[in-house]
Amino acid sequence: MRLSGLQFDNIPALNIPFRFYLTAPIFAILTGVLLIFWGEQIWLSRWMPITLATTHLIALGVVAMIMFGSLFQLLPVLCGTPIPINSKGAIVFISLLSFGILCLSAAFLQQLSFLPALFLLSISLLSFGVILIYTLWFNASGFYTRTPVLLAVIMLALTIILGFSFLLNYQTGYFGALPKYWTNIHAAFGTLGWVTLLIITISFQVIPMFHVTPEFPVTIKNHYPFGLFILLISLAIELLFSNSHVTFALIATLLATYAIAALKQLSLRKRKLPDTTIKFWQLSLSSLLVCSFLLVVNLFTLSSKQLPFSLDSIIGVIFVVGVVLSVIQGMLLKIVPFLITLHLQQHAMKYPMGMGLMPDHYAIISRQHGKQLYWIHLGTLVIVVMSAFIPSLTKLVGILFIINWGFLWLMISRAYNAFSRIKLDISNA
Amino acid sequence: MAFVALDVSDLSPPLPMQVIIKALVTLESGQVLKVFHRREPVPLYAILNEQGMAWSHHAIGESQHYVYIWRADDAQADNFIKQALK
Repeated sequence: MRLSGLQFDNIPALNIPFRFYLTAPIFAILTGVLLIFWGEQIWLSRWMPITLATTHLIALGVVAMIMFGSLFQLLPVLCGTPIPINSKGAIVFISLLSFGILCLSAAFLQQLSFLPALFLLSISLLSFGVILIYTLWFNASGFYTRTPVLLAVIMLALTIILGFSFLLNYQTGYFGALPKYWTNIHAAFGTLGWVTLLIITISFQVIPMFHVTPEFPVTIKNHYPFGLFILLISLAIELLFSNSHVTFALIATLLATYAIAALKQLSLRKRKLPDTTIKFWQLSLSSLLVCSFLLVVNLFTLSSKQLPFSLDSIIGVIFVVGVVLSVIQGMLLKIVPFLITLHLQQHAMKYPMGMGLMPDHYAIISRQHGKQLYWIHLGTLVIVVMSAFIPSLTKLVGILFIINWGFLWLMISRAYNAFSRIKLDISNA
Repeated sequence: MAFVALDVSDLSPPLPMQVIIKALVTLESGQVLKVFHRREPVPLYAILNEQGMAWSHHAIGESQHYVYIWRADDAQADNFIKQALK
């Protein structure tokens, strides 16, 4: 008999991940509002104030917010240790981070100095980063997850440090105009390092667990996260001295083979029941395949300027909306009912008479709502790619963003209310 | 003595836990619940502790796990399972 790994005492209070999940859609809705009013300008250049504001609202306000919330839940499950921050600490962290993101966007839109953003984000992100790295380094276990998650967090730390140095430079003008190299590294470490590395690592655990598939091949689990990390560091070093077409091609190949392997795993699931989360995963992995292909195409067209549109921007939006926002929404559809059931089960152990009140998985977020969310998101992805060619469509992207994330916020909010109601019913049973 | 077999290997979370907990409610003295799962159901152990259940876990490779569960105060089941698993 033994009790190891996951312990119920280690699982955070349900309100902790849900605070992150309920905050993130608000930033997506805000992005939608900005896109409606000034969206057409995002296609002019990545340096436009609106482009910088919206990309950081999404990267920090939506993607990082949800990933941070999920790490609170995943670290006890996958690495056997909690992040040592309680509910009050989480509220303070979310508040500082949220105001920091708002100040950063306002500063990009030239409505505010960069100092408030620098102050709020450095307190929130640096303290969270230090706690996360300390927890992973000293307390975590989990052969396939501890080190890859640590590598992803190191990539996040490098991205943040670079970001802060840019903000300081914006504020003081000390270094003058920054070479494009540094912002490229900031973007590559943030998107391919922090976000993709974490998605890949987590997928090795959650795809077999939630979708009843065979385990990923050991070669992929052992080598891909390390491979991606090493390639990104090589990319940063190479870019300092010369072009790095080979490394870019290797990164694209690694991402494409991962996407194919993950799609194959999903096709091998034992019970092929209709499941919207699977559709979100398939959309995300297919988008990753497209991005990998376009990354290679981009290598051959970079210098010759053969294309009448910015392939960089198209790869960027397919990556953010197609790869990242798809997988995030798919996982929320799965993890929200799962966490609610897990916490209700724990509660029902104290009130065995209430065990019969345990809800079905789909009573918390219905299949129908999941499907509707998927189609709205797919529509957003199609329109956002089309808007690269027809910029006037960007207003529609903004409207779809508001519908998409407003709907998701409503679903999560209703699910949490259902949890509170059923918990009370179980207590009174 | 009797084994009550329960195969949850094809179910996605959180169903395995729900099915096992429901089966525990009807588990009688002299019965041993034999659960077949594709992964070790570690979160279940805390619940079994709270419920006064004893268990024994046996893995055959990475994806075949058997968990035998019986009432901790059921001496007959305790002896039976120890003999059976020798």
